[in-house]
Amino acid sequence: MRALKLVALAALLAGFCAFPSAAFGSFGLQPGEQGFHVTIENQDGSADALSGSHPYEMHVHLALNESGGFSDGDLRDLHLHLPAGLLLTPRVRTCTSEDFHTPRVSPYQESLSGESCPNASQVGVVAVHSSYKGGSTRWFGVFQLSHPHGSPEAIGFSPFGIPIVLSTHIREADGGLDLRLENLSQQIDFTGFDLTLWGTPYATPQVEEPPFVPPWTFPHDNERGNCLNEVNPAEPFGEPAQLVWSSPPPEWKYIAGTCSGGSDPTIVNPPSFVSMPTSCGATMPWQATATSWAGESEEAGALSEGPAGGSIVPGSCVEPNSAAEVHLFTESAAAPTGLIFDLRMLDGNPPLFASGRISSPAREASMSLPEGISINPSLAAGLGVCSEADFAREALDSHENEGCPNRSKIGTVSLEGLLGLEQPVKGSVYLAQPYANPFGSLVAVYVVFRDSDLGVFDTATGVLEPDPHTGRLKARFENLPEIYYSHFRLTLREGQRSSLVAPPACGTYVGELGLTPYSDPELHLTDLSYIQITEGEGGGLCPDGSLSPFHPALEAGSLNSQAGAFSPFYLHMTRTDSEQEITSYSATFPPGLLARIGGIPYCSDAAIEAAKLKTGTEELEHPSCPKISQIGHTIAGYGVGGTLAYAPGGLYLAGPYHGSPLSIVAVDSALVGPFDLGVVVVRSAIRVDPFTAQASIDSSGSDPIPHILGGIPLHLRDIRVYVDRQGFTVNPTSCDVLETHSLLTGAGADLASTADDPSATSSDRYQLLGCQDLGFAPRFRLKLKGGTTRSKYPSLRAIYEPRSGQANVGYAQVTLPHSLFLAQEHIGTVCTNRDFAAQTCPVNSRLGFAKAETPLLDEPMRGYVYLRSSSHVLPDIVADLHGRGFEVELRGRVDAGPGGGLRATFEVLPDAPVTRFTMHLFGGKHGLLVNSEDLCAHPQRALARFIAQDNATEQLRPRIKVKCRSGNGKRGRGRK
Amino acid sequence: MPVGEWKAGEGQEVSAKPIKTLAVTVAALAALAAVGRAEVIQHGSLRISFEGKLNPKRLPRHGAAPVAVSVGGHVTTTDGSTPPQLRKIEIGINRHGRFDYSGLPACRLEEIQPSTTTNAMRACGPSKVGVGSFAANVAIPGQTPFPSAGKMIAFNGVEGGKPVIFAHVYGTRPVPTSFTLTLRMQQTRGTFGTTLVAYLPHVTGHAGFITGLSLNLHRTYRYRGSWHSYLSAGCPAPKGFSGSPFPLARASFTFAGGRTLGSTLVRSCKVRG
Repeated sequence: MRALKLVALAALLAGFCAFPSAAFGSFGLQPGEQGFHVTIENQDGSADALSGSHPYEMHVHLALNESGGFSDGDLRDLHLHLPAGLLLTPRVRTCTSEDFHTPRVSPYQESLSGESCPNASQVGVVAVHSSYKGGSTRWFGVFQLSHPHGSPEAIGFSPFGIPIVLSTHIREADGGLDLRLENLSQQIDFTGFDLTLWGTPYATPQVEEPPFVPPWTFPHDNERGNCLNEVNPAEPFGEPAQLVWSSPPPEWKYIAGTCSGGSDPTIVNPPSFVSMPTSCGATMPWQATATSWAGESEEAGALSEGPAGGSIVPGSCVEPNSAAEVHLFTESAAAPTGLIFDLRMLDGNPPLFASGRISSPAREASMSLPEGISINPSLAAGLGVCSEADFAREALDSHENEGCPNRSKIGTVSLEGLLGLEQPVKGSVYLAQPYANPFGSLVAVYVVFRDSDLGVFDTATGVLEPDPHTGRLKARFENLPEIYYSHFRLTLREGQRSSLVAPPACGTYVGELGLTPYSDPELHLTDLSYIQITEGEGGGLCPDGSLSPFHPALEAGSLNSQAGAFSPFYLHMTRTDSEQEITSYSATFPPGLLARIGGIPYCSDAAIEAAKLKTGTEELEHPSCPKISQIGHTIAGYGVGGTLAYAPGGLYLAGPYHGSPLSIVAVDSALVGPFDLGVVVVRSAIRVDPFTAQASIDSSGSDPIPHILGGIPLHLRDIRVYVDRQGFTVNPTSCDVLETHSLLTGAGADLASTADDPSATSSDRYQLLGCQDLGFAPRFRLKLKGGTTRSKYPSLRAIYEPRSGQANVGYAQVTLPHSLFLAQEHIGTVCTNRDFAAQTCPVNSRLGFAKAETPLLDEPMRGYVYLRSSSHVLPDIVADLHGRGFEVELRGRVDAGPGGGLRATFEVLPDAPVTRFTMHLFGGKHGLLVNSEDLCAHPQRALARFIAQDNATEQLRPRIKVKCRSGNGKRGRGRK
Repeated sequence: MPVGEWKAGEGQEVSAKPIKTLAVTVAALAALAAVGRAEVIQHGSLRISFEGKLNPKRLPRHGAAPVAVSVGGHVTTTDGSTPPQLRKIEIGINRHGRFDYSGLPACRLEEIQPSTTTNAMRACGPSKVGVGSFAANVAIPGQTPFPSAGKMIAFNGVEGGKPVIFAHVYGTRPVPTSFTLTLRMQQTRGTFGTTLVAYLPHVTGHAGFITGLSLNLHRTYRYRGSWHSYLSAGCPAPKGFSGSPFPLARASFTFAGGRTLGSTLVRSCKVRG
């Protein structure tokens, strides 16, 4: 060869001197069909253009420019671009590398083939045109090789002992195949070839007589291996074998030809090697790109010859025969579950048989999942997303996390039987970035198939569209692999963060499936799939769809258990998966658990309304309510199963709502993992019992909790409320066993109706410590002002001042001395309870006024003191205190003490911190008291008895201040 | 002094004119039992029992002897309803009775009202002319009516320069309170020479519904070396008779709404000696 090259080089140099340079052609393919031509034929020599069929032979002619029997440049790479859908499917036997590199020894002639591959691995023949070995055309066998890394399959031949490998590659764009010959040895001086690939290397003869099942034979057995006459290109093949039906006894008789591989009983259902595209009417463009070692490159195109002018015959398509099914991983109602979507191609006679025809793979698959199956928010726990840029970076050779991050993986896919390969191609399902995806939808997926060993890479996209009202899911996958496969399986993960939730009751559920093949975009095939739910949660009783149980649990308490201390307070409500959804809640806090709202501005109504219109991300980045209004935070756990997806939220102080003077609003950025479901705003009216000052959240005055957002049932299972603003929540000063109560409302059987919503009460023990350390030594003063003589009506001022940090008073009783009578003649008007409740007490029923200074509010609570109807013998004396919209009612019973002194007893006082409480009773014509003697005659003492919230007692004998005339007749304090 | 003329006691600080006083009243059931047979007046469902007693019954035909007079009354309804509020009481006293408060200290209202019984006695004990009891239903609007009872002490008093009887009541249940009923004296002609008038609302408030009141007037004292009796009487029997019935008192009760019920109480006496 080297000698030939030198000769050629010498001739070239000589020619260069003798002839114009134009006489030498440049590297490239010869023009037109001389350079590149393709025919696909049936066994009778007619062109095959039937969709999905398996031709008898496919011929590829390729010729390079040559001059004087030498190519115009040495071919280095050759890329053959096969029409989309034209398949070369791997066969059941391959030639090993050892055999491929072991020169053939033929008993018929001297073989120049460098291989000794078994006949069963042969898929065609090739006529090699080169100047090598005398410049003749010689025929060699083409064999199926073990696939090289990065390619699903390869064929090769070894002319003159020079191995030439054509590896196949699946194009990502259209699923079509490329055949690539790379780094061809310059030694062979390749000028062209005629490549013949057999459509059905193992074919079943068309036998119409019994026993109908002949042994498998080699249709091209006179072209195989040793039968090839490499020496005489004019007669390259031997005599073919024959299969004859003869009797007696009746049987098939195999009459060997020149040479024959014979039958191979171990081969069962061998696939065809070449399959035609499945798209009807589609053209079959070929393209060849030749590149020389000098870097010159040329492309040439060709159309397969055929009756449709190089196209698949319109109307020849085989209607896809596929079966799709949906399975859940569980048969338990309301259980977390994954999902399996199976799509099987059921083309008859196995599709790759010579007599079978393949149908078009599905371009698009859709599933309307059965009603009751919904997205599990738990899926979102710790979940990432794959952006469009991430997805774009996905490639055959991309590394882990180079494209879609692993955190966004929510399932797997597999393709079995791709190109007829036994080895399945696997892939992953990633969650696409919500809204920033090809569908612009909340839930979309990217599907990535990748097998670097096979060189297979493909992608698809999918979308899950939940019904906004019912949550029923409709899934749609687009751009599924266009290349042939037998079984597509998509699995959405199960486990702790399962992607779906099973229907809530036992029964049979029907899903609707749809397929649209590549061959006909207008065709929409439908199928039904059935899912059975046969047991309850954990294998328990089967829910029948009627009302589910509803027994939510409550846990509540102060983080600091010291009585009277400022401490964060938490409320934790939970339910199980089998219970109804929580639609609203109320809570009654332990008496005395109050909050210092002084100095905290409200989050405005406008800001709250604005929050409802935001996305969760916007709210998180720019909270609608001012930070200064925040009093705590919330965490809501959504989902089903062992792991929940938690979404944070802020808890803010807000103004009057639903008749209550105060409200709290939970502004929850519904960022459940990567899903931005907007902002959940639940505003709850805070009510304060006017008698005990016990605070509560009343569900009737509160917003319902949404149970479905964006079509995703939230399955709210865990509500955590932390009121943890520093110095905000103050503990009671009672160490009695108290309780936090909660009333939760379930969704009932009908999520859309509140008529069947049940309620459940939960309680949690609440008890503080350290009461013995609080102490209780209040100061108490009384002062009379006005006339001091008998029958005068003095005013009375009572001042109660506790010491800082001590227990709050819970009971107070003050007995006045005998010198003060009830001025019954002044009991003209009594405020009725109805008028009191309506705040319409007659002016004449006012006895005085009161003021309570508390650290909880900016300003003191003030109000009139009334004489109000009661169940006691006499009307009660009631201080009606108001402050920041709240009302506190201090109710005192009026009677006489053991010694006959006028006595007022406040049996229930709210466990609320006050720094000073003052009650002033009018004197004069509206005075409730009348002197029964001269107050200055002797010191006046009252008896005061106080019981703290922690049951500590204090009894005082305060001297009543009276301003008397001094002995010299001047006004003075006199005797007190 | 002729029998039947009521004479003011000497030494009266504010008036030399004898003051004839009538005890007004309605008595508690227990008191009524002690008083004796009652005169019952009924109008509709409203019923008033009026009773009086003179002690001793043996009295001189000529002249007068110290006596004790007990009067009382009880207001009820036959259907259990709350009786209307008593607004005014008028009691006419037989002209043969004689009040003598000569030398008896007179009490001023402001000395005893309001006050405890102890303090009232401390201030006006020398003026005491009788004891009694008081009962009422207190019906404060919006409240369940409750009974109230207390001890009553009658003091010889003066108001506006005129003699009166202050009937001081003090109670501690349900709360310490006191009121004083002022019995004003009006001179009239005929059988009942003196009429005592008491207006109730201003002392019991709008909520008080008197249900019973009793008063036993009796006081003897020494003045300028001789004994006096706050009340003296003789038996006006015709000559030849050892005794005689006579109209002791006539009572008139006026209720809220203007309804007035009246009755005359007839008792008898015997001639002493």
